Amino acid sequence: MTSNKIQIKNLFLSVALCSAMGLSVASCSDDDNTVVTYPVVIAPTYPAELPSSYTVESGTITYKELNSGRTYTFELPLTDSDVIPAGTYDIDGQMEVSFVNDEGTSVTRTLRAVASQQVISSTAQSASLKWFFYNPSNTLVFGEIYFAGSLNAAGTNGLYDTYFTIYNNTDEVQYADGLAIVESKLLNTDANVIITPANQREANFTVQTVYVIPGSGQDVAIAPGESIKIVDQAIDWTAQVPGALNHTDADFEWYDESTSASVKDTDNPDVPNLDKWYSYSPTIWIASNQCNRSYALVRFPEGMTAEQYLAEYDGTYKYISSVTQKEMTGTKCYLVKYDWIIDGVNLCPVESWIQGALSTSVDASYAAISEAKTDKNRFGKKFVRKVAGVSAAGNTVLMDTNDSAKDFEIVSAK
Amino acid sequence: MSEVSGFQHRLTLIAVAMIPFFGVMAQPLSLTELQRLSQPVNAALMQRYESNPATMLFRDSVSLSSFAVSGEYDRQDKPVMEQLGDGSDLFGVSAGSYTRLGAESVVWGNASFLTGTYRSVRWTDCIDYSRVAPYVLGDEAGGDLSTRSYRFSGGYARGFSRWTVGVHAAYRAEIAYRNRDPRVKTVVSDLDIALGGGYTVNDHSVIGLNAGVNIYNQSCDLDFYNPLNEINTYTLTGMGTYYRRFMGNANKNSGYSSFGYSLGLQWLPVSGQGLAATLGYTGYRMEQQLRNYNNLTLGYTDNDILDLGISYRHQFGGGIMIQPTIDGNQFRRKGTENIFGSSAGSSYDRIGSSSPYRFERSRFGLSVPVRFEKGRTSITLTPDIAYESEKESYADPLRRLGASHVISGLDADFSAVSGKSWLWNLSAGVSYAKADPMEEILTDLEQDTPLGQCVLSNYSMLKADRSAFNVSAGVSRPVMNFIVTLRVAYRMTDYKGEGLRHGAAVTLAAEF
Repeated sequence: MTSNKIQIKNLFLSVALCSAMGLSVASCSDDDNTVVTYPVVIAPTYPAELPSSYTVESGTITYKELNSGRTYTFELPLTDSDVIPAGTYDIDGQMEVSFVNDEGTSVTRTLRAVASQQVISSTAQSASLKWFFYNPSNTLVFGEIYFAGSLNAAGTNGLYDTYFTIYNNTDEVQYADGLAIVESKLLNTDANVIITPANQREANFTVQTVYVIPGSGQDVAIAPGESIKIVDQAIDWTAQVPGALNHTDADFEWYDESTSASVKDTDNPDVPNLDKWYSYSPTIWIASNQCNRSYALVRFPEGMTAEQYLAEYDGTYKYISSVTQKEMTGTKCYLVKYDWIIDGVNLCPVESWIQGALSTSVDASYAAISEAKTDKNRFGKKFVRKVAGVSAAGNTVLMDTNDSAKDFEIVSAK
Repeated sequence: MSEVSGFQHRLTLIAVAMIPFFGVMAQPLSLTELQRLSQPVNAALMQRYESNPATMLFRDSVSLSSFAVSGEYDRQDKPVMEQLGDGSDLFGVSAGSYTRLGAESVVWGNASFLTGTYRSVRWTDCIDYSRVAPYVLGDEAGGDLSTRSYRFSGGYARGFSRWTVGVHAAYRAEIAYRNRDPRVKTVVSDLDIALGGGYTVNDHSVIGLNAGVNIYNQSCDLDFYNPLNEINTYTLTGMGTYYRRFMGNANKNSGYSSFGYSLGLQWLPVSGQGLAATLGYTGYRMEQQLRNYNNLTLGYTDNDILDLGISYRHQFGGGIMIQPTIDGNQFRRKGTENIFGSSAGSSYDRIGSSSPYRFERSRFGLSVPVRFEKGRTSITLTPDIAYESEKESYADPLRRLGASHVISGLDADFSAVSGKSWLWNLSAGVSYAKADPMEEILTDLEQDTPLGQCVLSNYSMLKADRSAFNVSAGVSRPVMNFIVTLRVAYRMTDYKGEGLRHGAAVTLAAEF
């Protein structure tokens, strides 16, 4: 009986002990599995053209966390309740801002910023964002430009294995048919003073070639993050010079019916030709080998035909020659309205740069392939647009700040 | 790998060879002793002594050794958990011994080999899923996994007056593999070492304290022979979430390692009568590393397991004995994911961590076995009622699933020795589990994807009402110096509205 009493007492002791230990473990455990978050903080850099006083009309910014793949979207301007967990983020922002420009006019423009692999953690909560003016209609941009060509077998000049690519810089399919590729009439190396108002650099873009991608509107689709390649001659240049490029995979080539028996173009029947609306050259068009002209992608108004364009936009102009100081006439050229341009780039060697053929609203500077115009080191090199980041949809976004010096870099074409 | 297997085979042979040596030192086993040891009340009580190597000295006064071969069959109309497959076919050989070397010392050992197939395992390319979850590599395709497992364990306990000390060690090596894409080769090593002490507080009871450590490693290699396969490997993080950064076919090898520790406290009867209480705690941290990313530690879980058992045995007159028992178990898991910064080559800097994953399972049960014994016939009736609860949650995106069950059941066990040469065992049981699912939250779960379907399928099984019944029959007979036992068992569980699960086992054992 005594032992039974002892055991009953021990039973209660055991239960009490076990309960206490159970409660102890339970109280030590962390039931709250909420994730630590940090306020969304942006360290912005704005384009120089944006005045200090402006108003954010609307906008969104999307953070995509690379580890988990989760996406967080916030309305702009940000509020105190906008928070994100720690992570490594690709950021894609777009906003409408209104401001008064230098002419005193109230304007609304779109700014965009993308940034890759921005780390948000307990020690770093601010993301650096470089905003740039962005035209949502700038859907297609020059991705690569290779106009110097590969060095020929004699080592004296460039081959005609030149090409450029047109890149879809959006998250939606874009159509390239109807798009024109134009070359400036004006060199970026001369100081001629244009007299004719319509040909002033800030008024219209004066061009000497107009080649158009054929199609009826939705024949040449470019997927988001993809590009098409347009070449001078769609042949395998490696058969002529080892190390040159093979362009048999080109999407298009530009082909000219030459009026000279000694200068002929080649035509690969397997690669479609661009529609030639105009070229100043009676033989073949060779893109600027010294890379000192300007180029643009142009979307003409709907319904515009070659005949109508050539009839209505003749670009003949008067100018004062910087060499002779005499008034002269520029011919064999046409005008392109800046409203039609969806991307443009000034090219020029550093030591030759005077002024851009394009308005600064299209390109604030220029991209240089070399210091000197005769530098043979330019052969085999191409302009490649830098990568700005990855969009919220996961597509590579190329830098498009309308400032070619910052947007492009020079790399080997091989 | 073949060298490792050869070494394991030799270890198995050595372990098995030692067991008869212990066995022949003991007194011959009788049918009535075997009958007593196999009764549910005794089998349950003996398990409590096994939690501490020191208290193994008091487990039983009879030495028992055995050889056994067994086959197990499991089929599920719908997998209870897809990561565990929809069934298995397993074949095992085992040998074990509990041998008293004298009044104050006991030695025990076990060795076993298990081989077979786990069927249709999906969404995990490793084994021991319940241990390493939720951070596993997995894919939709999955498939059967072949397995070979070796287990060895042994211990020794000795008494010194009122004091008792004991030591126990156990080791498991397992390899699982699949010979079609996605090809898996998984190797596990699992080592337990425990020390225990006991103090006999009076003529009736011993108090025990034990501590142990566990070292666990698993290496999981995945390969695809078909280079054109489109089987994406997901780095899963629980409840249908995964690291998108590390998904795809490039990330194919992972490893798991953990260090665990355990503590236990016991109050146990010396003579079998009276109060038996055990309390045990086990904690371990399981880390997952990605081999293809410089052994990047992707995530880890912190696990806490608390076990509680209390029973009280009282023998009435007329051969009636009762043993009311309370058992409780609580398991908590907290999952922590490391967060990595920008990649430089294949190097990823850890910039922080978050702990969005939680899992909790609890079970508390009360059973009141009543044994009626008359002569060489024994009947045990065990009514029981239990409450179990399981909850799983993820913070961002918010997901929460859970269900609890109230389970009631009745088991009946009959054993009898007829003549002097036959021992008959018959048992049967029924149970019913009524579910109470909690409100489900599955934010952003893509329910039409295979991974989303997996989450929903597992949950549908968890929250189902269940009814189950089981039957088993065994017959034992002395043959030469052994008692040969043949036992068959069958169990069926009906997950209401979802499907049936059938399980069967056959065991042929020689005990002495």
